[in-house]
Amino acid sequence: MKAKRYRKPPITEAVIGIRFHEPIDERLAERFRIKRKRVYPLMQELKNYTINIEKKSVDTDVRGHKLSSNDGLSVAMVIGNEVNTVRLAPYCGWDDLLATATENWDALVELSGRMSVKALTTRYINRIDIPYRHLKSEQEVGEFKLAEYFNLSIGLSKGACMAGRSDFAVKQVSLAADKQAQYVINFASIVPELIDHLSFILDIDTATNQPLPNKLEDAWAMLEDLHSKKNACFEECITDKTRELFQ
Amino acid sequence: MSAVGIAPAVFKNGKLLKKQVLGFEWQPEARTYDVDSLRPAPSSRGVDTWNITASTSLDEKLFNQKLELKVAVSRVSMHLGTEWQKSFFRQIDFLFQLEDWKKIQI
Repeated sequence: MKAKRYRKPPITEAVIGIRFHEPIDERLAERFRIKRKRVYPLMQELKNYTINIEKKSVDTDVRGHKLSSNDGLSVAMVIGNEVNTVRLAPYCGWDDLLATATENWDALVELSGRMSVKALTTRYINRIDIPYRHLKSEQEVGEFKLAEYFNLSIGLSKGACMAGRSDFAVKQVSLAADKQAQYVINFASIVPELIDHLSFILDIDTATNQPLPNKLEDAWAMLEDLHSKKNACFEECITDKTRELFQ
Repeated sequence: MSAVGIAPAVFKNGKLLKKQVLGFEWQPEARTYDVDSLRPAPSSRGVDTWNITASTSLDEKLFNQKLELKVAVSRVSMHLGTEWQKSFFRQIDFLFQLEDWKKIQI
């Protein structure tokens, strides 16, 4: 499916992930950080803390690294057996994200030789802000009609209605029709970032659901397929009324 | 409520529904249940605030503040447009110039 180009894409975070069979060891993570220092000059260690009250001791272990650009908007997460290339808003497009992910992949291959890839993933977190003025009346804020904006529904008991301030979170795990990819869709209301708006998160995580080909070019083609599937999934989750908000 | 900006007062039939406040939107508190734990964390989540200790240099503090502000601006950047966002970033850089803050410290 051809991606729609929106003037105001609601994407707050776009991710391309590479999941390996083996965990990325500390030494490789450090060499990767040094190699990509030009793009990601900042580094945070992500640590787990174990507090033992009886022994009055605190143990820490590094579970990964977060590398960031100087403005904090381009990020690489190296955690466990995954390397995630992340772009925060404003989204600069798939080609830009893919180019950075490719550079990260090339750097890893150069440092460690060919690594065995278990799965490829993409994750797009969208925050959809609906201004009160877009709603017909104040009454509609009180009794918000989810179906006018989203094709994802929530079953409510008879007599209950969805109010503007209703709090919900729904998670759905499913397979694409061709069973080549898995979707994890998280749909939730959130506290709005903007005044006089209702906000919802539509988080679409797609992952390959089949063994990856050995040839990198073929694997990368699967990533393009994942991206198309994600676009199709997003478009199916929203209505024209929501699309108007992004124009 | 934590939406930043100026929230106008809202009256309906002479009854105050929302107070006017600067900085935060105020709404009457209702009993709420925490569904946050059901929501997935962003992929890029690291530590929410950078460690600031007595030994943290002014330069580092300013840099960390700049970074946090830019990430905060990015969260609403789709509503600002590219030029506004660049302008915000320039203003943030301008406000957090080390030389100016050194003068204030003295």
